[in-house]
Amino acid sequence: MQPESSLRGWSWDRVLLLVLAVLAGGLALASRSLIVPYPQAAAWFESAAFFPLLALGLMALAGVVEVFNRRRAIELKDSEELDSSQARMGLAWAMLGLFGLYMLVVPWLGYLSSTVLFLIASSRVLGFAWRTTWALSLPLALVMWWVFLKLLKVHFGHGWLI
Amino acid sequence: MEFFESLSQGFAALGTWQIVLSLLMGSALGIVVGVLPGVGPGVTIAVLLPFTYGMAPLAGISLLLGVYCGAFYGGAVTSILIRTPGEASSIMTMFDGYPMARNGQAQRALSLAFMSAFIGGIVSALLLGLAARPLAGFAAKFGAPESVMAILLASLCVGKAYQRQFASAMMMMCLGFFLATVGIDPNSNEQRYTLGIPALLSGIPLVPVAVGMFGMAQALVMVSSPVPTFDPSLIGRAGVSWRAFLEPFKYPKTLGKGLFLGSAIGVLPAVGAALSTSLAYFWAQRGAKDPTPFGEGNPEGIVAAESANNSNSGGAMITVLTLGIPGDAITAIIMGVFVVHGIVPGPSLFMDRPEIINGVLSALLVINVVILILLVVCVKPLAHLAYVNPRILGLAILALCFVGAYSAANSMYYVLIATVFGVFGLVCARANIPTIPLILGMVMGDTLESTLRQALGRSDGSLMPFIERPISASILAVMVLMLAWPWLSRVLIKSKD
Repeated sequence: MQPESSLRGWSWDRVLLLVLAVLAGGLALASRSLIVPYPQAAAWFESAAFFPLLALGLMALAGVVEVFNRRRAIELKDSEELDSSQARMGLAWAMLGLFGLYMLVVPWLGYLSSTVLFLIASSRVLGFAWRTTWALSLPLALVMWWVFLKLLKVHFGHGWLI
Repeated sequence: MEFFESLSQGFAALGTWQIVLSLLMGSALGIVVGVLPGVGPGVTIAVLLPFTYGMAPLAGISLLLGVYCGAFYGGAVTSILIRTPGEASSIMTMFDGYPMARNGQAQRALSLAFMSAFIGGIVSALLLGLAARPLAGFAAKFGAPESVMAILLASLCVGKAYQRQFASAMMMMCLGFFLATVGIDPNSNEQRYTLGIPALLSGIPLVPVAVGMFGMAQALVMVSSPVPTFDPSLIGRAGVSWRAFLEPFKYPKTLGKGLFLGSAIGVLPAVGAALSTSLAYFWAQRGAKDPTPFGEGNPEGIVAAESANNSNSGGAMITVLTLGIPGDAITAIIMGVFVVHGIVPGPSLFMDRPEIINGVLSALLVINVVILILLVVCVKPLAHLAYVNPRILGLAILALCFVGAYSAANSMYYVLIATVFGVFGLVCARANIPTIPLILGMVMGDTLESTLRQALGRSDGSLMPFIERPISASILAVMVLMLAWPWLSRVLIKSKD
């Protein structure tokens, strides 16, 4: 954590906040075309645009204030929020890529075979030994297949395999 | 008398095999996720939520309440035995629990923690039973302006809970409010921000958003973080000591402090158990009976932290049941079960569906008893769960998120939403932008918009009803005071100097 007094430059979290604020502002400005049909004749308090515009306006304002506040390092308290300070983002993105592939493959191959493949590929990316990979992937996929598809009747459609 | 009648009706409402099974499974699962490294009740409840849709409302709520309460107990096990808190709210238990375990008193520390948490859970459930009905009676006097003000006050409390991150918390809350408006406006049938995508006509569903923000984001962090190392030498010493079970009663003042702070802070939106445990711990240091220094195995440190920790659950449910305002992210997701079954939480629930209210109260009592029994019987094997590799858990959660999001509507669109919000949750966590307010905003957004339009519609756009009506004006005054307090306190300190 940087000392309270030191000024920070345009760190990526400030950029992200600014992007969110600008997006909110942009959506508010584009509301006339994004609400169909736009309630021209309605009184402001009865209009379908009133509440979203209020929410977006306040969001943009709060975002700009936070960008300003974060020109100095902020002191974070213990909270229920997710702590990702130790996470290796490259690995997280790789896993996300595999998850995206999994999403695409399920309707094509079927739930059980796709889940086995996803778990095997993910285990290898995470550096598990082959023994751990098989010991984890096959039983987990089978249990999930039995619980969700057989017991709870979740329907995934028919793929090439199971 | 009325209270005991409600209680007996509640127990009768729990008497179906589906609800009994839900209570048992939820409690067991809650303890397990409390012990497992990195997995919290939020992830579990988010993933379980879609599967509760096919259940009777009380069965679904009982399952999620079991997870919610069980995690409070389970978190103490790893705090005491391996100096790794299962939950943020178990950090204070670690300070005295671990030194006590190192001194060869692991069973005493665990028993102190379990019994203090049990007392906290039972007292908070009873408090819910006693306070909810009068509070609901008061809330029944609320018109649209009062409801608007109550939700705004809750939102402000959420922002204030984040202290230095107030603005970013409010930004995310407003984003939640906005997301709740996407889809067809129920009053005027206009399509709002649907971008011509048919799937967006029915709005952005809460379930995949919760699965993404709490489940996927957490799973991605777990698989990509280094595996933590710990000293496993104390795990074999897990167990309970019958004598230590009665020990919390030797410190009634400390117990009272924990119970008071836990229940009171539980009612406040978004403040969470972590704050109540730390406040109770530091308060217990003043006037402690036991001479052992705090941080070196003082039993009162464990009693204060655990009683405060577990007495949050009842407090957090009070606002959900009486006002329809969730106290934290988990109760916001639990509120989703009500909404999906067409049950509107709030004062009318006491008239329309008393069996739900009585059932929740009785379920909380039963859950605490079940959890204590499970812990006494299974604490030894449970402690070994600490060995589980968080990366394996993260991978399993990721696979569960997929099927959890999909099963909510048997639609890949839900998985896509979960993925988008999972990425957003991960990026926000990396940038220290709070995500819990977004879920709270989404849950409260619909009610806020409808009551705001109702209030303004009746007054023809005038803001006077918010100021003229006594309850609304009082809430407004509290909000102004809360906003002005940092400036006022500075002025007061300067004038004292």
